Amino acid sequence: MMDLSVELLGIRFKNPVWVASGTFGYGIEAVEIYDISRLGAVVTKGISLKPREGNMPERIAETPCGMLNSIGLQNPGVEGFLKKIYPQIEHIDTHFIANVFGETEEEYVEVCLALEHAKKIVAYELNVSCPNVKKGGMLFGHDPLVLSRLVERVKAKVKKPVLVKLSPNTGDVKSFAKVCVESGADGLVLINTLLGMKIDVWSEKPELSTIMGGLSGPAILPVAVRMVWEAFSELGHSVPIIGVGGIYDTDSALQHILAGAVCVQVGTANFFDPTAPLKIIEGIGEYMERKSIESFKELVGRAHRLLVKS
Amino acid sequence: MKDEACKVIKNRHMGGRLYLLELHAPYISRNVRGGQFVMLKVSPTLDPMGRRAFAVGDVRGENILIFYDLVGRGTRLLSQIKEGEELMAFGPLGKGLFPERGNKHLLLGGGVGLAGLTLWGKELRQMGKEVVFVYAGRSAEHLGMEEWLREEGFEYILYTEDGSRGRKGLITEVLKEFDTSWVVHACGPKGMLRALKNLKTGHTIHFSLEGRMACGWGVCLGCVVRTKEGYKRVCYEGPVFDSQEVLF
Repeated sequence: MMDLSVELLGIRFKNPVWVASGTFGYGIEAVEIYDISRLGAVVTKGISLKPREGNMPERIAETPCGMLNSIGLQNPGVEGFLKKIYPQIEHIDTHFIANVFGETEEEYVEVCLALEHAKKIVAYELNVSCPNVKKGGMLFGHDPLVLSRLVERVKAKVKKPVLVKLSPNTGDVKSFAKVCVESGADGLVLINTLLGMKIDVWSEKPELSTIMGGLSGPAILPVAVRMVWEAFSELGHSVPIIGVGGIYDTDSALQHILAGAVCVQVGTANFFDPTAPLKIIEGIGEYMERKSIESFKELVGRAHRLLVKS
Repeated sequence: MKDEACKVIKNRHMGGRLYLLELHAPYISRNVRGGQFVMLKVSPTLDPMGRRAFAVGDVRGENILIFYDLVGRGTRLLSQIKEGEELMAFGPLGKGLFPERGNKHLLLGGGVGLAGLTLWGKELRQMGKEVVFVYAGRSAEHLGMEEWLREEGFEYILYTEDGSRGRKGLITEVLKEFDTSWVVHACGPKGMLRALKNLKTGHTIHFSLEGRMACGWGVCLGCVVRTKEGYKRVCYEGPVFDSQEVLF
C-alpha cells in the first residue's frame, strides 16, 4: 500500500480523502458501514450556535447526474453537538473538521470558541456558501469586504486552523480566494453547491419547498475542477486548497488533485455509493504505483506544471 | 449493513403497475428484519445517480423479494433489468421497529405499501401471534400481491375503491370490525395514513413511512418527517413511527 499521507495546516492526514460536510452526518451512522478511521478526515455537518430545525420537506430532488438539496442546516447546535455527539466520535482514529455556520460574525466566532477544547476537532471550515438559509451562509461568501471581516475576526479569536468553504455562485473565485488568504485563512475549500432549481411539470410547481437549492453530484465536477484550477493558478502552493464537488471515483478525485487540490472531499457520492471514499483511497494508491509516483504531494497541481512545460 | 452485489433471480410483471423482483442477497437476507428496506442502484450509470428505497417484502433462503410499482423513471429502469444480471443493494436499512406487544395484529397495506408489512407479518406469526392482513387497491388489477397472501396462508380482507374485487370502499372502514385489542400496523399512501390517524378509534397504530431519500442511511437529512419531537429521519429513526408521534 502506497503512503498517501499528507501534511497541511500543520497536521498530518493519513490520506488526502475526506468526506464533505452534510453528506456524512458526524460520522456516527457511518461506523455501521465501515471503519471510518480509514478516512483522511471527516468534515461534520454544519454546526450553528443554536439548534436549527432545517427546512420543510421536500428537501431534495434528483437532477441529471446530480441532485438538489435544501436541508437548511438542520443540526443540534454546538452545545448539543458537544454533549450528545462529540463523546461518540472522540475515540475515532481520524481527524474531524467542524463545518461552522453563523447568522452573524459573532455566531461564527462563538461556535468556534465552543469547539476550541474539543481535541478531536483539528480545524474549522467556515461555511460562507450555504445557499439554503435565509440569514448568514452565502451572504458572507458573496461580498469580499464582509468575507474578509469575518475571516479576520475568527482568525483573531481562535487557535485552530481556519478553512473557508467558498461559493461557486459568485462567478469570481480567484478574488474571493485571495481575499480569504489575505485575511488570514489557513486554507480554502472549493466548492459548495451551485444554486439551482427543478420544476415538476405535472404539478407545475418547484419540487423543493424553498424553490431553489444547491446542486451537487457528478454534474458539477467540471465547474469544481475549473475553480480549483483557477484558485491554484492564483495562489499556487502558498495555501492548501481542498477540492470538493462532483467527486465520485478515483478519476474525478485525481482531476481535482491535478488541478491543485492537496486534499479532496467526497460528498454526494456517499449517498449513492457509501463506500466511494474507500475505493478512491485505494484508487489513488494504484494510480501512483502505475505512474511510479512515490510522494502524493508530487501530484498536487501537476496539470499546471505539464501545461507550462509544453 | 452492506452494499451487496446481487444476482437478479426474477423480475416479473404481476399485473397493474406491480412488479416482483427476486435478488440473491446472502448478506441482506440473513440480516433483514420486518419493516426494513434496501437502497437499489437501478442503473449502473450516473443518470439517474440516486438509489431507490424498497421494502424487503420477503426472504426465501438466500434471496430477498421486493415488490415495486412502476411509477417513474427509476422503477422503469429497474423493470428492464434482466434475470441473471447484477445490481447493487445496500442494506438492510432502517430500524423497522414495529411493536411486538399484543397478541392480535392487524396489518393494513394500501397498494404496494403492503410490501412494507409482509415480512413483519411473517415474523409476528412465527412469534405465535394472530395476524390478519387487509389489502386495498383502486381496483382488482391493483391487488397483485394477493397471490403472496394466499400462498403464505394468511387470513386477509380485500378492499377496492370500485368494488371490482373484495369489499367496496376504503381500507379505513375495516377498523370498526376490530376492537382496540388489535395492534394496527399500516403502510400506504399518505392520504390513507392521515385518514387512519384522524379516525381516533383508540387503536394503537404504527405507520411505516416513505420519504424521498438520497442516502437511506441517515446522513442526507432529505427524508425527514415532522414529529412531536421535531424532524426525524424516515430512513434512520424510522421508517416505523407511532401514529401519535407523526404530524402530517
